[in-house]
Amino acid sequence: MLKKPLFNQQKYLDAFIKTAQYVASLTTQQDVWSEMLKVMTHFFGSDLVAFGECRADGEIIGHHWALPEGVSCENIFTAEIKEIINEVLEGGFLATHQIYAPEEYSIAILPIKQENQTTAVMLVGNRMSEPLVKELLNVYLAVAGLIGATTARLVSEAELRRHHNHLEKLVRERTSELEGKTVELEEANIRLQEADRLKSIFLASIGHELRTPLNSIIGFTGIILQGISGEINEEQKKQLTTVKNSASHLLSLINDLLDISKIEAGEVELGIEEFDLSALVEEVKNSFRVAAEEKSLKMSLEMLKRLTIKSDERRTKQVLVNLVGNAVKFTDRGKIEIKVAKKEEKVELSVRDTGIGIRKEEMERLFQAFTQISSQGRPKQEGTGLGLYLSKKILDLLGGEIKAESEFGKGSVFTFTLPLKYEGVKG
Amino acid sequence: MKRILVVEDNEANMYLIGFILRESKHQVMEARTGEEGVELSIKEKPDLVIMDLQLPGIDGLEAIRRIRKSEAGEKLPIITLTSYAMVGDREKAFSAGCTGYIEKPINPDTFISEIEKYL
Repeated sequence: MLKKPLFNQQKYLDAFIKTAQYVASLTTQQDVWSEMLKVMTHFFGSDLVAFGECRADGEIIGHHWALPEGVSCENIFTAEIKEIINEVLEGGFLATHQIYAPEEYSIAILPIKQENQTTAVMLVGNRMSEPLVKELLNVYLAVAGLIGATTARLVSEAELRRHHNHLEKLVRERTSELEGKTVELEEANIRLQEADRLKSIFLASIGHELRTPLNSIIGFTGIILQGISGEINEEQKKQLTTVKNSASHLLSLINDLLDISKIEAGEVELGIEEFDLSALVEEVKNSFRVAAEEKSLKMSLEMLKRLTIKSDERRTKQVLVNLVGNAVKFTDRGKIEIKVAKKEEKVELSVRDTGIGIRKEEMERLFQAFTQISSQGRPKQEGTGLGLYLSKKILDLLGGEIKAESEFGKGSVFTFTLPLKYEGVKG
Repeated sequence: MKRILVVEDNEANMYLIGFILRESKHQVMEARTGEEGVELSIKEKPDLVIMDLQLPGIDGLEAIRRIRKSEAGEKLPIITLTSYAMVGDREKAFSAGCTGYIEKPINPDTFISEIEKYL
């Protein structure tokens, strides 16, 4: 009768705890098998240990073993054992056996599973002096479970690291791509700013150069027209008046362009001070008296006797001159009414005419640059198409608004508001 | 008749301003640089100076400042010629010490009456 071998429970419990702690410290998949060989021989005192990694189809693709002296692989992996291994792989169960290699060993073949998939087998064997009793097999099963869980952990950690590294790489690539783009944009921006600055300088200097000769053209035509330098006949007077008007028109064109380039470059300095708006409106109205009389247009003015506001007088005048000028230009018969009314914290100025009016489809483009309304059956109007655009830009600067209403063929009314007290403009 | 110094480097403008002033029986002195303008203002003691702002050498603003520093030029009326679109020129001219300004281009109909306001 065989003596029942003693099972040293405490020894294996300690070994298991050490194993659990040891595998928890493993961080890479790489040496998991050599580490497990150490664990089995040192902690559990197994006499022979071998691991076989396998693919999903059961094909063994890698061996790792720790065998006692004098024992070779051929001794262990006999055809019979290979068959048992295959059975274990297929069934996923533990199998025990005895081999002679050349001593007698009691061996067990255990599946190592990752998420229910057998990915390796462990062959562990003891000399017959300490055979694999049932209790020990249970411990080995638990160890196999631990190895499976550890491999699964290491695989997913490696996967995670790969993802992480991939993401980091992507982020790095994107970052450097974006940095490249930013640099490109910054360079483009610098070039644009430089181009814009050159445009401003160009306009300012060309504007000055163009105006200087106009100074003497307008001045001397005026002097000759006055008759200071001697009598001139009617024909000469008519011709010189044309010269003077053309020069004045050219001058206002240059001035408009300069104004717009300054406003768009944000270089406008406003001259904010208190002034009498009523006096200004009166002055503008009077400046168009002759032009209106030539076309037999009536001009009326409705306003308070005195209305002091705080704004840019010169710019306000510029807008009003533009609107009244347009009204005179586009009206052949009837009247032009200018109204000034105080409305709460604002003043509202309107210029109404009985002129040609504006078509609905042209209303939208009215305040855009280089827009001139078409006037069928009329000679093309002189003008830059910048007047209303400039007026709107000026009013934006002064915290005001402008709008237009019109009935084609009947007339138009342009209305703009200004704050009574300019207090800066947001943005 | 008053003695008026015109500081202007542009010949056409100098001719125009000189012509209008002489027509109104004023005596005209001409300077074509800022330095010359300062020198004549102090030496010749004119009744009024018409000063262009853009000049070769020292500009009109600097010329005004130098004239103001001298005893002879302390109370001298100095009228600057400013360009319409040169926003800020007026403010700069006043802070340099000018008495008044006339906008270019010169309007021959009103030029004399504007000048004579300061005489």
